Amino acid sequence: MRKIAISSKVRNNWLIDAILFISALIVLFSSIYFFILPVGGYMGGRNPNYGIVFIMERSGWEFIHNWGGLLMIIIALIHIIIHWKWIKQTTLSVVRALSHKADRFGSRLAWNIILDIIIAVSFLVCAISGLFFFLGGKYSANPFLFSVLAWDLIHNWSGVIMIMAAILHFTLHWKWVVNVTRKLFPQKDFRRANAPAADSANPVSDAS
Amino acid sequence: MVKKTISILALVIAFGGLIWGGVHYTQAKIGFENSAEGETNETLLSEEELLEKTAVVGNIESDEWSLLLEDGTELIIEGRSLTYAVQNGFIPSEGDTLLITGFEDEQGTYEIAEIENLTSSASLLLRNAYGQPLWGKGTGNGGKGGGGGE
Repeated sequence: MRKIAISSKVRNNWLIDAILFISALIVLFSSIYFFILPVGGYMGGRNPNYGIVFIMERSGWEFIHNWGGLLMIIIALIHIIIHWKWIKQTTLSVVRALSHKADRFGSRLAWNIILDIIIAVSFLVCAISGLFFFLGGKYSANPFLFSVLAWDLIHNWSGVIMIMAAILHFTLHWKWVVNVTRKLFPQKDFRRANAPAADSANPVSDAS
Repeated sequence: MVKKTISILALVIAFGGLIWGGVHYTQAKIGFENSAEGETNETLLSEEELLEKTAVVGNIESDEWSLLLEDGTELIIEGRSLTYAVQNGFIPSEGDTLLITGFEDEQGTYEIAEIENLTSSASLLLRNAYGQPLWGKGTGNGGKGGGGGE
C-alpha cells in the first residue's frame, strides 16, 4: 500500500487555498454578470437592460457577489496570518536587497514577490471598496471620502488587476498545486502498484 | 509546445476579457452618470411644468417602491430618490394614497419633486425649485448631481 507523506501544515495550507480559490471563483463569475450588465435599476426609463434576468435576478447576483467577497476577505486574512512569517522574512529580504545589503533574488522569486505585492495592494483596495458597498455606502447621500461612482470604479479596476495578478500567481504555483492535490487525493496507479513507492519519502514542501 | 501555446492563448483571452469588462463597466457607469446630470436645469420650474398625480402605493420593497397611478400606469421609485426618502423618514405603507408633484424632463421622463402622503399627512421635498435633486451637488448634501441614479 502506498504511503502518503504530507505534512499537516501543507494540508491546512491547501485547504485554506482551496476555499480561497472557490470563493474567488464565486466572486469572479458574479463579476462577469456585472461586467456585462453594469447598470441596474430603472434609471427613469433610461436603462435598456432593466429587468433582464440571467439565471437569477440582479439582487441574487449581488447577494452572491457580496457574501462570496466577504468569505474571500475572511479566508484571505487567515491566509495572510498563516503566511505571516514568510511575508515578514521576504519583506526584510526585499528591503535588504534594495539597499544592496544582500544579493538580489532569482527571477522566479522576484516575479513571485512582485505579483504578491500587486495582489496584496489590489486586494486591500478591492476589499475596502467592497466593504463600502456592503455596509450600504451606495445608498449614502453623503458618501465617505469619494463619490459613489469613484468608489465603484476603484472597486472595478482593483478587482480586475487583482484577478489578473491572481491568475499569474496561480500559474506560477501550478506545480505546487498539482503536486499537493495529487498527494491529498491519490489515484491508484496500476503501473506503479507493484513498484516500491519512491516518492513517499519526500514530503511536499510548503510553497509560499 | 502545444500545451504552452494553449496556456498563453487562454491567458491572453482571460486578460482581454477582464480588460474589456472593466472598460465596458466604466463607460456604462460614467455614461449613465452624465445622462443623469444632464437632467437638471438652471431655470426655475414654472407652474405649467409641474404635474400633480395621485397614486396608491402598491408594493414596498427595500430597493423599489411600486406606485399605481390614477390612469392605471405604474410609477417606480428607486435609486437615490428612494434612498433620500428613506433617509428622511418618508416611508409609506402599502395602500397609502400619495399626491405626487413632478415634472417631465427633456427625455419625457417624469421626475418627482415632492411627495405628500394623504393617508398619514407626511410630506417630502425631493427636488428644489430648479428641479435639481436635493441629494445632488450644490444642494448642501455633498453628493453627486443627477437624479434617478442607481
